[in-house]
Amino acid sequence: MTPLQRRALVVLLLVLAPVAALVVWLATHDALPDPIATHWQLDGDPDGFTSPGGFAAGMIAVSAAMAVLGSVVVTIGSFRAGSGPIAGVLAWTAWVFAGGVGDALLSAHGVADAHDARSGWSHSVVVIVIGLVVALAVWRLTPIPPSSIDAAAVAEPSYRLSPGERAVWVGSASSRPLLRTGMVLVGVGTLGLAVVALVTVLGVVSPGTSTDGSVLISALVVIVVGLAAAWCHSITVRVDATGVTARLGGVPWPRFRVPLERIEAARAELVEPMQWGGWGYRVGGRRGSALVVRKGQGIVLARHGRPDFAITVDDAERAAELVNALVSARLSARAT
Amino acid sequence: MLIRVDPASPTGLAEQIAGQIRGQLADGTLAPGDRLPPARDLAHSLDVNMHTVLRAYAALRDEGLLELRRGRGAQITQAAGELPTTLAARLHEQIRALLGAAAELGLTREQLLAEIRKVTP
Repeated sequence: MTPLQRRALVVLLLVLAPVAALVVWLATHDALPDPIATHWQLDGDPDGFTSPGGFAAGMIAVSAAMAVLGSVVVTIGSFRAGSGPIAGVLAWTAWVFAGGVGDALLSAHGVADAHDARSGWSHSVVVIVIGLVVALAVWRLTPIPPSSIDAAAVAEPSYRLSPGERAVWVGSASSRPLLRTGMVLVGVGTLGLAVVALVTVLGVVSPGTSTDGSVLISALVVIVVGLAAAWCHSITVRVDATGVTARLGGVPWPRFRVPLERIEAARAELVEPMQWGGWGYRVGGRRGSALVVRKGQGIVLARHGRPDFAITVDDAERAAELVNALVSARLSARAT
Repeated sequence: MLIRVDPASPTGLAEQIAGQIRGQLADGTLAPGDRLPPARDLAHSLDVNMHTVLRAYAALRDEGLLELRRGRGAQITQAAGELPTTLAARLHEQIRALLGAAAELGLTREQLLAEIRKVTP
C-alpha cells in the first residue's frame, strides 16, 4: 500500500465510527422511548436515563470530533512518529463513543419503558475491544516518517565480524537527579500517608471523610510517580546476535527488546528527551519510541516498518558499531 | 564493554574473553567499581559455556583485577585502576631497552623506525 492509500484507509476507519452511529440513530429514532436508558449496572439493569435526541447528538458529536481530529493528525503528519499512536487513541475514543451510543439506541429500540432496556458489562467489553482493534489497525496503518538514520552505516560498518565470530556489548546509563527526584517524591508521599494515619488515629477528622480520602489518594499517586522515576533512573543495555535488549532500574523484568532482524541500522547520537516524548519508556514521540533516563549519549535504531527507537546509554558509539556489524554479518550470512 | 570471541582462533575462548576485558581496563573503557555482566548472561550472548566465562573471570580475579562475590557478581577492583599506568610504564621500559639496543648497533632514530616498519609494515 502506498502512504496515500494507508492514510485514506485510516481516515475511513476513523470516519466510519460517527457515520455508523448516525446510521443507527436514523434507523432507531422513531421507535425509542423518552427518556432512554444510557447507563447500566454490571448486572444489566439500567440506572441512568437521558433524552434520546440530546444524548445521541452529544455522543455522535464527540465521536465525529475525534474522527476529524484523527484525520487531521494523519493527513498533515506533523506529529511525525507520534501520528500513529495519537491517531490510534483518537480512533479508540471515536469508536467507544460511537459504540456506546449505538448500544444504547439498539437496546432501547422498540422498548416501551426505558427500564426494560438491557445492556451491561458484556456490551461494554465488546465496544472497548472493537475500539482497541480499530485503534491498533489505525496505529499500524498510519505511515511512519522515513528514518533519520542512514542505512549505509550497515553497508560500511566500522568493522566486520568474521564468519562464526560472536560478539556482545554491554553498557549502562543512569541519572542521579531522576533517582533523587523519585526518592523525594516517595518521601513526600510517605509523609502524606503518615499524616493521614496520624489525623485518623487522633480523630481530628472522622475516617472516610472526603479530605481524608483525597489526601490518601494524592499521597499514593505521589509514591507511585516517585517509584516510577526511581525505576527509570538507570538502564542496562545489551547488544548481541539476538538484537538489542534493555532493562530499567536493574530489575530483570520488563525487558525491552528490539530483535536484530527488525533493525535496519544504528547510530550513536546525543538524545534530546523532548524529541522522543520525555523520560522513561516513551511511545510515539516526535522521532519515535525511546527509553530515556537522561539527556545525552544514546543509540538510535532504525527499524523495518516502524519508527526509530532510541536508548540512552554511555559509550553508545561502540554499541552502534556492533549493531551495524551484527546486522551486516546477518545480511551477508543470509546472502550466501 | 565489548567482547568478541572467535572459536576459529587458536587462542582459547576463556583467554580471549579475559584478554578483551584486560584490554578495556587498559584503555579506560572499564574502570574500578564497574560491574561485569553475570557470567550466565555473557555466556548466553556469546553462545559459549558458562564455565568458559567463569574461567575467564577467575583468571582476572587471580590477577587481582576482578572481585567475585556470591550474589554481587563480578566487580572491577581498585587495584585494576593502576593497570593502564603499569602497562604504560612497562611499554616505556621496553622502548628504553630497544633504544639501548639500537644505540649498540649505531642505528639512528630513522633507521630504527625503518627497522620497526620492516617487521610490521
